[in-house]
Amino acid sequence: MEHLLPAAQLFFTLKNILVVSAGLFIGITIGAIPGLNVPMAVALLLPVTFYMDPVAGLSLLIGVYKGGTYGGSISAILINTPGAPAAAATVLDGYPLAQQGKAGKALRASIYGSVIGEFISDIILIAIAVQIAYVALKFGPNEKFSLVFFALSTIAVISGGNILKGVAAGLLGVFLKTMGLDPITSSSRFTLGIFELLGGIPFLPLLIGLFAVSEFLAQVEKKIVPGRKDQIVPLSPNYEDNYVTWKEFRGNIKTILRSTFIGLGIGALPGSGSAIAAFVSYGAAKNASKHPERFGKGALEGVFAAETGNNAVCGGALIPLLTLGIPGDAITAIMIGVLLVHGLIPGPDLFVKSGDIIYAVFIGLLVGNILHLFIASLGLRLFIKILSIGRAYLFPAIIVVCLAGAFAGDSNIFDVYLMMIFGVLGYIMKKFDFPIAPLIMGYILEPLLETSLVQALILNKNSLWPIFTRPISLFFILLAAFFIWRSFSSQKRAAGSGRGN
Amino acid sequence: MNQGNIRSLMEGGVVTLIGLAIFLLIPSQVEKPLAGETQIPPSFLPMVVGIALMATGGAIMVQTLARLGPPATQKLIREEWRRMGLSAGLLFLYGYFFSRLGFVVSSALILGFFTLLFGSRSWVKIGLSMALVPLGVWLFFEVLFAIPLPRGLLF
Repeated sequence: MEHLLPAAQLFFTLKNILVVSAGLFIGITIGAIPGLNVPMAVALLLPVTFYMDPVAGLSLLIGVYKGGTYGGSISAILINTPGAPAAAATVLDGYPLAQQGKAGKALRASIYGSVIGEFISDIILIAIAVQIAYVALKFGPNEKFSLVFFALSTIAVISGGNILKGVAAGLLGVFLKTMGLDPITSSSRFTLGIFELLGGIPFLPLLIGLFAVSEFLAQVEKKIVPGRKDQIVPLSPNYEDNYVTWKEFRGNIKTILRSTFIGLGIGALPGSGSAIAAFVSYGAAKNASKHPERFGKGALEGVFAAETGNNAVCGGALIPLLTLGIPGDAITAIMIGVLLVHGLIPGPDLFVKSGDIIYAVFIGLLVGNILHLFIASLGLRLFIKILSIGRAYLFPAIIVVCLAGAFAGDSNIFDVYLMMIFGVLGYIMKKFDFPIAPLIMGYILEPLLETSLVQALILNKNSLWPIFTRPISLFFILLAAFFIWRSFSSQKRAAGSGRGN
Repeated sequence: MNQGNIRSLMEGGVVTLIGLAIFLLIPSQVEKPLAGETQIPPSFLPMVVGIALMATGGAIMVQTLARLGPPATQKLIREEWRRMGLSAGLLFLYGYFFSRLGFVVSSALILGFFTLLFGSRSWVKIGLSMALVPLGVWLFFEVLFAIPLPRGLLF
């Protein structure tokens, strides 16, 4: 509580309010446009955050994260194409509603569901984060090493279809981070005789290249028919078709609450994601519904469930990030990068050493939810208009921002070339179904892995055995084993059913 | 063996080769610590990564041979690779001219090329995007956030 007043003073400035609003606006816009994604938006905005204080920088990225997760529903409802993977379940009932002339109603349901889901999950995050952090403060090198091992094991979950390819990508990320000077002995490693590599591979060009430039290359490869545009379902002129009535809202409160807790729980599990939360929430709503036959044909309940579930993930994903320093996905991995740039080490120490900053970010989360409601509601027609911007103008503009962003980090042209190399690498990885998120996770977790391993070996006199005998570290090792086993068994099941079909 | 399986075998082979390359390059690319022997030598983690990559690549190949893995989902089309190669080449040229012509001029030129490549044929819109986007980005970085961008011969 002693942090609350300084945190409020830290957050409540016009600059921070504008920054959160800008983040939400950019996030919704990027989320709404198919082909653009939230990690890409976060990567593009990262250089700007280097020039901001940590509260403003993190608030901007959290705004983008929340806005982007919601924004995908706009294109899901209006053009039957989810703007983000998180909105894939929204298509199921959102588009049929739009076809019935109720696009406005579906869009409003999506706003209300998203904002309420976020709000409740943020409150729970704030309530439990400090308790988890205080437990985590007692962790020694053995526990820290097993925690990093557990975090790396989530690569198996975020790898999607092929775990081995995810593991390979994660290992490549670890290797890329080992380039440069060794943190313990200061010996140079894999600098290839290039002076600029003595400082290691910088985060910004790696990130922009892998997420934004690779997506640009993936888009440019498609042959485009000039003048062809997506068919956007127009809003109905009838008032009642564009708004959610109180009766409709009241009838969906149970669905909203259920989906919030599903999203929160799934979000808190590293390696899960908003798309999974949306589908699980949708399935749970269908199971609990008195009219399951309406699902898939334009049930408002389906939109509420999917959108509440996917946005509640945002608060849940911040729990392991802020309390244990574990990124659950690519976006939270990028946020760790922001914290590190500002000299803040993510994890339990953050609450002790920079409590005012963390509480200011918490205030930013809550204020952001209120701003989300207003920006999404008032700007709805504008966001629909943005959907009609042609890709021919959008993607070239993005590449210009990429270049400026990569250069901005260190004002070094070498970083621009590195960004391009990583762009081509990201494109090749996408083409051959190697997931990119594990590479970022490996890159982010490598320093913690190496230092905690060294500390554990020194403490245990060159033995790793105590990691298996201490209860907390054993818990994380078993959890990691469970995650890996679960991922392999679900992949095997999927392969089996694929052959069966 | 179908084309998807051959591709998977090649993917596993490439991963193995990357691991092998890391492993073989360690003696020449990892400097010995000046302080002598340490708890963990600087080559330890790259060596573990190299071995793990070789093992993962091998596992991908074994998985393919045992037909446990999911089949390749995307087809490789020559036209797509050509367009991508052209774009990547243009990007490297953009990087080259970036520091010589300056941000605004080089960005305007690259925008023109890429909007054409993306299929736009409206010269008015192309001209507008060539003028407005670089200036807008320049204003955002240089004026709003005081982040310097390269100034070349012209601007």
